[in-house]
Amino acid sequence: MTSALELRDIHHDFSGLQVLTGVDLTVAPGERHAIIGPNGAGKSTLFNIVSGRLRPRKGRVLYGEHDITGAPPHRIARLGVGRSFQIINTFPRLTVYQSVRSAVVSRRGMRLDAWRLLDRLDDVGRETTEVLDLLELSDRRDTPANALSYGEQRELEIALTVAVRPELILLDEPTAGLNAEETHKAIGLIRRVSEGKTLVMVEHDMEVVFTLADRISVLHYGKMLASGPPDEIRRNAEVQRAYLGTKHSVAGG
Amino acid sequence: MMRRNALIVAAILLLYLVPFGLDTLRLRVAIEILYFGLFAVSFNLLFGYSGMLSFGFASTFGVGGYAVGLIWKHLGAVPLPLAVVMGAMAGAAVGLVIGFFCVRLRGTYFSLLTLAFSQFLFAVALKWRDVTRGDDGLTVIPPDLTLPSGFVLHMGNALHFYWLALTVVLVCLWLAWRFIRTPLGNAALLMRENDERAAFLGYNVFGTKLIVFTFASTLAAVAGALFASFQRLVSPGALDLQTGTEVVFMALFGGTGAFLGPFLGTAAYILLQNWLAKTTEHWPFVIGFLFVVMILFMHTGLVGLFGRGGPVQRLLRLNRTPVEESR
Repeated sequence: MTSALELRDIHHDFSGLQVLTGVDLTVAPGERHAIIGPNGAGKSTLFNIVSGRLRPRKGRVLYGEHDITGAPPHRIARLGVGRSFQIINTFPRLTVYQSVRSAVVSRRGMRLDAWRLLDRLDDVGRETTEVLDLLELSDRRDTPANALSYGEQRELEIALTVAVRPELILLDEPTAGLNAEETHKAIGLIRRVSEGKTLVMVEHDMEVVFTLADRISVLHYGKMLASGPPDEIRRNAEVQRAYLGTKHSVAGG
Repeated sequence: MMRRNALIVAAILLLYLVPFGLDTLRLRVAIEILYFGLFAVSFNLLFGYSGMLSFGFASTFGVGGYAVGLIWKHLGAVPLPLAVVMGAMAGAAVGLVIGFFCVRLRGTYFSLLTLAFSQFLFAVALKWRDVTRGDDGLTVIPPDLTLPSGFVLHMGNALHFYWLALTVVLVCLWLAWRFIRTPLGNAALLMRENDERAAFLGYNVFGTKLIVFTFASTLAAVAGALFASFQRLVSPGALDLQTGTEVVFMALFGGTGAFLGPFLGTAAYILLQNWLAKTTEHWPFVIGFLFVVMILFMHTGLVGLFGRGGPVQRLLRLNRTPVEESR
């Protein structure tokens, strides 16, 4: 069986500053995969390369059968890759409902429909309501995104990502800035929306990582230090030295 | 809903009857408001709805005007509606080309490139005398229009022209109003709000912006075609910087947050300008001052000032007791 996502020898630099120096990664279909690593390890850069925001200097990005290296973001999204952002990246003046509906419209391939009235497309409305229910955002449906609380904005961020029903979900620090209670809620939410999908997430919170991930990869200054199931990663001496043991306690373990 | 539809029908009827209460001079002003109003609304599709501030929007306005002028000069008595459609197509074509280069850019760069294109077209209109007659302007002679009922609309008759222009403008406004309620119109909003995120949802940013740019240009060309038909003349001034910035002001004056805001802004601007011009020769100074005040203190324009929850409404409610307020 082909892998859901495969990165081969990815290199990237920012005007000479080497950020990724030969990253390999294989993610199996249906797997929940977490990428961890210290700040500046290149995690977000890696996400930007997979989702088409950046073109790698070298290497290939394979999504199932497709070579998506350097493809524009909208093409990659249409193939079934949905991503969220570490820094809130929503539609500030649109309501929660309008925002999620825009994602539903895209999933249904009606982006260029210039004739039918959006408000009268009942099935679009129904699907949007379903997504809002799933993410427990229904009571905020008519609130503009910029008037949401930070935690709610994080939820909207995930709602937008999953509303296009991606096969591969990329979450970039979905719990960044959330308190313990919100984080706990987010874990349940991520589990629900990634049911039956492939999930890759970048995350700093070790509780989230070790609760959710089937496999963990450790990115350390541009290279994959290790990749394996949580227990193996936790025991890995090199990983402990580089990351887990020094700054973070292995929460949840 | 029923009540709203009835109100709209009543308003439209009233608009058709307006000329009977106006003398010819005022009727000419009303016609001017119609096509400049359409121009401002189409500008706002681009600016207010899609977040693209064009300083060169007069380009396609002028193209529409020159198109109908040339059609009647070279193809003979093409009926005005058909000529307007052809003018609109010319506007669409030019909009497509200009948009192709401009919509890749954002913010100030976009604005400046639209400005550059409009200056380029201005130069063409000025220098290509064989076709455009340069700064003498091209005479535009719309033929009289015989309706299916046998009624003849005389283009020289302000009343007849008003009805014709009103019909064309209403159709265009309806198309624009409808457009922003379709999925594609919604995509235009996404471009304004956050085009990058839209791309990650599968929206083609370049394609969406190009379509919106072209559509807005098409409607602007219709406005320009009506303008030229009514003035019976189109000169390079139709696509110069002043026309391009005037439409920005008219839209901002009315309020870019509401569909008809720019239309109201146009009406207010033209009436104000006419009145001021009669009162003082320094009227551009007053208008300029007003513009500065608007930009500094009233971002939401007249609609924001008089609309729901605006300062005027709050002022009128001052006398009410809080109990009434909460009901």
